[in-house]
Amino acid sequence: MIFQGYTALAQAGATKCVHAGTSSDPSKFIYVLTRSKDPVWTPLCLCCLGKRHEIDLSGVFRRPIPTRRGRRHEYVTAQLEAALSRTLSLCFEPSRGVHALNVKKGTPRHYLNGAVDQEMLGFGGDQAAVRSSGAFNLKVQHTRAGLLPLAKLEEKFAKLEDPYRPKDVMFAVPDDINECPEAVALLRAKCHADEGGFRIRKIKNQKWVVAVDILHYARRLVKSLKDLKKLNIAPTFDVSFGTQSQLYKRADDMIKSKKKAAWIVYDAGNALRYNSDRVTVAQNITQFSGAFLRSKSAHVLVLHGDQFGHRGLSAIFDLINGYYRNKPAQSVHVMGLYSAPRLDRPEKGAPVINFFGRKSDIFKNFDERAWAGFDANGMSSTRSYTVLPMPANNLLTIGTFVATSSRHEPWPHITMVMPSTPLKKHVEQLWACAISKYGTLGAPDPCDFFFRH
Amino acid sequence: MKAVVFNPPRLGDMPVELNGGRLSPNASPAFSAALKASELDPIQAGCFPWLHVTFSDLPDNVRFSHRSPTLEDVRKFVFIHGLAAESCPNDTSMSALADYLFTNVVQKVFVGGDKKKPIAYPCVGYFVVVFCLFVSVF
Repeated sequence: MIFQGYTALAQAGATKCVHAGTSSDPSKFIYVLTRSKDPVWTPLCLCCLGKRHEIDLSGVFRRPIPTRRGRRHEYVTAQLEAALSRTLSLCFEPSRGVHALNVKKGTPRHYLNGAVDQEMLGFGGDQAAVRSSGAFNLKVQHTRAGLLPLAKLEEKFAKLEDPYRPKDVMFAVPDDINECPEAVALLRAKCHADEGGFRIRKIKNQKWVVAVDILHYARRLVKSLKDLKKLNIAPTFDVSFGTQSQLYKRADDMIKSKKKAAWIVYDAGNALRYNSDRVTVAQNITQFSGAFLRSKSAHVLVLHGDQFGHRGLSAIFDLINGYYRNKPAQSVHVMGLYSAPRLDRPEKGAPVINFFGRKSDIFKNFDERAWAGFDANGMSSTRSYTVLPMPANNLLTIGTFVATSSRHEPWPHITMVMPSTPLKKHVEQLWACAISKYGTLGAPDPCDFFFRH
Repeated sequence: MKAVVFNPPRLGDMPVELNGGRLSPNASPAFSAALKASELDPIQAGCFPWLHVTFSDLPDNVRFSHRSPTLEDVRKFVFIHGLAAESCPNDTSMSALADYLFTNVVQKVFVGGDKKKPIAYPCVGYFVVVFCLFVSVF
């Protein structure tokens, strides 16, 4: 939980603010004594007055280990955290609450949304007396009309840093940024300073902002692919719409198609069972690397490619290349479903397979029988969904619904809100629309920076 | 220049306190009605159970501060929000969850320090003295 509050400490463990201010007014001293990295302070020095800083309260709330956590526990704790964050905001910016209690006239709701303290700037009386007696904070920063590009840029950076938005890994630098010097300064601080954590790269005269780590993993990934090409190995990336059982069926077919060949399978879902010593199934990266160290050169199959981001896939491809043992794979196949990341903490950048498999037809394994399973009313499925049409549910959300079933479950039963519209027709229309709009599956990806255009 | 005089409506005696969503007993019905009609009501409802408000002198002198909720408050909070959440086998019961949150979360959060105690920053001289002592021992 990142709370926007007032703090003078630029980093955890610092005893001075960035301006080396050391004096403080103890009567305005507030802190949170918990496991949080940075205590909550009122401004220490004059330069820090009114400056907003990010305070990380994510360590405040203690939680049990993930396997012991309940869904209700998670939900209620999130609500409690949100209430604490709102309370601290109100303690630091009490003017919003004071104006909200306008018992004489009533305060319009939109008036509370900023701009209140700007009214006080025009106050011609004794501001010191008002400040000492009232709860006004005259130093609050507001988003003014001239700072709109800055606000948009901050929002974009926040999305890049949000771990729950795995698909947000890069954004195009807006055109109107040069109109706002503050926005240019922010971009410079984030992308040109060493500690900023972001870099600017170009594709076809369009500037993009990418996080440094994602850029690094993308570079490793592309290098691995190019090295595999030198060994005459062309990895296949297979994205398809369907259930887990269909994914495993395809994996079975692929393994059985090459008789007497050794296989190393990366299956994080742990549902593939083989009684054969020519197939090694790894559940995690440790087992996968162990399989490479011990076995001879083998064919490689990576399942659940839709859950990997740049980090996971680059680690897997490093191993496949044999950088550590000079034993590269014979052939490489990455399989995944057309689905959004379904993990609790998804990997940033997932599903990167949609970029590499962007030219694949996701309905190629879909015949009439499969559609019948999808739409049948008589199926004894434990999962059923009611799907709203676009824009509430796009193709990716429907694909994610379908992919949530476990391996041995039947098809999930999916019905449309409008009964007259068959689901097959709706999905096909969405697919045709996606093809006509984007041409391919993949959005621009950091891997684009390392391919020639 | 004509002086502008603000006449607040008669809202009874002050100060009135709003502690964990509950008004203090000296709040008049007019004050409760005014509070409910104002935009502050949804704001403070979002802050339950952490907020303590003191209305000293309307319209301006309102003080917002953090409070540590009691076990009863946490139980109320958990029962309000727990009904909306999906249960799973790891959740035993809502009262157990409330007790857990109170002992492991709420009691670990302290906002507001000892204001009489001056803040002591470790300075360079402190480290120099400690280092000299350390060296002198050996």
